[in-house]
Amino acid sequence: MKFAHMADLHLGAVSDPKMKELESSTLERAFTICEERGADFVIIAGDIFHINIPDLAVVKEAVEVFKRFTDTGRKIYVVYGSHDFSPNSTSIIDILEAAGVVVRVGKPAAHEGKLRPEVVTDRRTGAKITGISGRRSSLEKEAFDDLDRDYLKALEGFKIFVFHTGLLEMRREGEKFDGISLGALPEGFDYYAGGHIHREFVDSSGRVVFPGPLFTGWGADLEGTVLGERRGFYLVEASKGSKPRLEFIDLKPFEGVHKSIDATGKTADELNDELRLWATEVDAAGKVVLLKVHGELSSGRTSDVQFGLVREMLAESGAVYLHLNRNALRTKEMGMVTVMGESAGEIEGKVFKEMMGSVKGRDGEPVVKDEPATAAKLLSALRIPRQEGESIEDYFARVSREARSILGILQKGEDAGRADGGGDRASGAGMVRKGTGARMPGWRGMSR
Amino acid sequence: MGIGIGEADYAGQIVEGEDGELVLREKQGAKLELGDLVVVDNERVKYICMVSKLEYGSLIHSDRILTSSGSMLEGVNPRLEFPDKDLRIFRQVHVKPLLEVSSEGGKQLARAPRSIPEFMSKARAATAQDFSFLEAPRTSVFIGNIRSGSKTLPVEFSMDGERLLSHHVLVSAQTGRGKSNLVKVLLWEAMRHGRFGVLVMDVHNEYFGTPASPGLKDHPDASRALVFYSRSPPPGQQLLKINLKSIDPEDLMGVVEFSTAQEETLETLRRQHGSGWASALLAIDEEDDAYKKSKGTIRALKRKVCNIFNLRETGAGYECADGVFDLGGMGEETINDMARALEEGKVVLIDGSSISDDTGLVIASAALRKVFDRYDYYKSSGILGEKAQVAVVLEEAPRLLSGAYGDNVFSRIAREGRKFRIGLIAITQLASVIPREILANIGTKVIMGNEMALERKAIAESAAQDLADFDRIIAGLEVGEAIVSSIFSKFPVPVKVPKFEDLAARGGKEGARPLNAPQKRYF
Repeated sequence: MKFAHMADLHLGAVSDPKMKELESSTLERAFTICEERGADFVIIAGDIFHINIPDLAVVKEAVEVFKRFTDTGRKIYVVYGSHDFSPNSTSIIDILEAAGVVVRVGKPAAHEGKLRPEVVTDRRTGAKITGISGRRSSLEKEAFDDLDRDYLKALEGFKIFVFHTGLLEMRREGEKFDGISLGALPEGFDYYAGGHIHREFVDSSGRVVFPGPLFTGWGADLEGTVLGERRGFYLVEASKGSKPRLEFIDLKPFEGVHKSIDATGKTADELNDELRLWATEVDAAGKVVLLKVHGELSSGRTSDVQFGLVREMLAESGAVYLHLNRNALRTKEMGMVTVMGESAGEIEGKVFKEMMGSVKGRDGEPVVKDEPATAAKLLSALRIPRQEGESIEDYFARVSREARSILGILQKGEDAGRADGGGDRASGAGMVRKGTGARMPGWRGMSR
Repeated sequence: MGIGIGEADYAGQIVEGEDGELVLREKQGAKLELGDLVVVDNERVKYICMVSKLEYGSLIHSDRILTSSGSMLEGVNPRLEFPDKDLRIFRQVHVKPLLEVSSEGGKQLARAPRSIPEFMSKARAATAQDFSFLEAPRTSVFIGNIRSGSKTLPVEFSMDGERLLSHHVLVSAQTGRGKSNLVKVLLWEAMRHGRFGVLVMDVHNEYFGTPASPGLKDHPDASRALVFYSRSPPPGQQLLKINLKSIDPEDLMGVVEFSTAQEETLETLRRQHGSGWASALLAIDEEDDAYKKSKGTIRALKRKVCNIFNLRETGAGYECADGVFDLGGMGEETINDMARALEEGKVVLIDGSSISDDTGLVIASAALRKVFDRYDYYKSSGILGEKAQVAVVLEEAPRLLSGAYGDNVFSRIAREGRKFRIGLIAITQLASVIPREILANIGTKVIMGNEMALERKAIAESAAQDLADFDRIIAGLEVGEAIVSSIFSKFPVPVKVPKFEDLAARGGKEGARPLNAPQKRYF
């Protein structure tokens, strides 16, 4: 038999129109290859969509691609991923399954206190497919503890276990993510189709496989793609008892060009000159551009650096998209602050106190009163992510209203009440959500 | 006379002696045994003593005794008896004063004896009340109940975990005297606090427990205080998979014997290839002209590295036969995870039953090297005090601690671990092989039964208290019985270590989730 193993499609994650196009064409290409290469079925190990209820235009395009494949009598087997799963509301995966577009495997059932995930048999090949869906914050871990392993081991035939959970043994040195130990996977399967970790991985047995993301046009993963990491899926030829033959289908979703500039010791003007010169000379036509600017400016503010101009210049030269990473750009005028504290809140409070007075208005006076308290409120408001069903426009408007309200610059006539809570949907304004603030080092390897 | 003590309760009376040893005439029927604790009450001070020698005493001339014995044995006069036998024939009991307990203002103060009881003072058997001066330590690690000979008193003896582990522990015993049980009890106690990181290479895989027998997995806090690594871990535990990049040549020192040329080659490989030294070594073609002179060294090194990591050469390169070590991209964080767990005050248990002892030591070395690095940084940052006290259980310690194959992380811990809050729990039958300066550095010795006089002597000579007269007592210790001699204890404490199964049954099952019907939502 031959099957395709994909994961972490994250459809709908990109907002840039050109990147959306690339995302959509890459998906189409992937399924065309599956069809042409005679894949009997496709496994998607979680995170087909970036959120549980994605933009309907994104869903429509995906359904068209999926349907073309399944109309040939072949199936797409999926599990929930940490992104497209929702414990409280319906996931788009449920809708696609109800419409017969995908088959969700591993639906849970309890048997004498043990978890027996439903096993689906592929009619075309006889392969038995089951698994464990992913959840937010790797909450699915406990399901692995409760698996009825003897039951799964006793199943006969070619068996595939699909999961959306990182393996702790996969971590590179210094990389941190939560997950399960390789030993937690149930014994006796011929193939373990993994997802959630955004990089290719095949264990020494050749049976535990993570294809990494299909596309990734966003965040740190985009940097990886530009820097040459393969993006695609595995085409697997397998039969009972023999080691699966893996072929990675490199989709090369886009061509990239990257530039890293160390701003250390330069003034903002000098950095602007360097950026302009580079933007003029770089061959960016038809490419995704990754620009990383880091280091400490000797003078001038980071806001003096004309990144907007660079963006315009690259767009004019035909670049598909500019991914700008300036997280590590600092200036001496806002030097490094080192503080210690027991909790994130305490550390934030100390940082705000340290930085008090560093931003002044034209009159040389601080622009807001009680800066630490205002900053804490602002941070708290900014922590609230986009809510379920909230459009990007509504989200931007809400964040803007709340921020202006906290800074005391809300225009007359604007609904201050909404700014405090944004209606029912954003009634959590001001509340600090656990787990949404701090990012761990090494987080780039994980689904976001 | 002691409070509430009747004449019938006395066990004997001091009839001679000196500051190091008192001699009692035993009251008929008292039947004191070696190791029994007796108390001599004087005004506002009492002396707690341990029976160290028993002998006969008689006021009858020896000629007469021998004649009488002959008459009885030869049947001349089998019913011959001595007049006033109970007064004239008795047992003399030698006791060693362990402690002087004085009462001042209702408070009891204990110290090593500086005086001797009044002549002809009477002695009685020790009771639980005699130990009311014992104070509960800050981070109490229960070791066992105080024991008077073979009788267990209802007095719990605990030590302060921070002090105990930071100043090293030596458990000395012969096989079958209860070492493993004691270690399990110590680990169980450590887990209770969740602030002691203890690394254990469990060579017989007897500590974690199985469905049929209790183990550390049954601890109420196991989910947060225990991490178990195994080649075939039970659900929820960790696969023992370590990337060779995590192992430094330094971790092999003291475990594998290297020639100077081999050590130099390892150092060169490390300098040139960093963490990829092992792969670089294995990739060397010793037939290459560049290695003409060092062909023998490279071959020997390859052989040693393959042995220790259980590597075999295949058509596709080297692979680890038992799967513990990885030459690819797996297990890069395992050693860091172990170090982090220790720093977080967890017991890190490694199933060493299916790997060689030396391989286990290399893994432990690597994890402890990481802890040392981290704790060195914390020390220089002034935050070491906030970190968990770490210890490593080292079984059959002498070879490593003696530095037979050179300096290693274990001997470093023995020497300077205290400054870094890293301690040793060394377990051995052969204390005599451990260098004296290291023995002297070990703050607490838990002495269990040992038939070898040389070993008893070595341990007694290095004990925190004078155990010169304890030789026969140590020789006679039964399974689970121990004498704890510690710089943090004012006297050598005879204890009975509880059976782990009893301890686990008392505190292990509370809060455990019933096996059937998990109250969870799956998706």
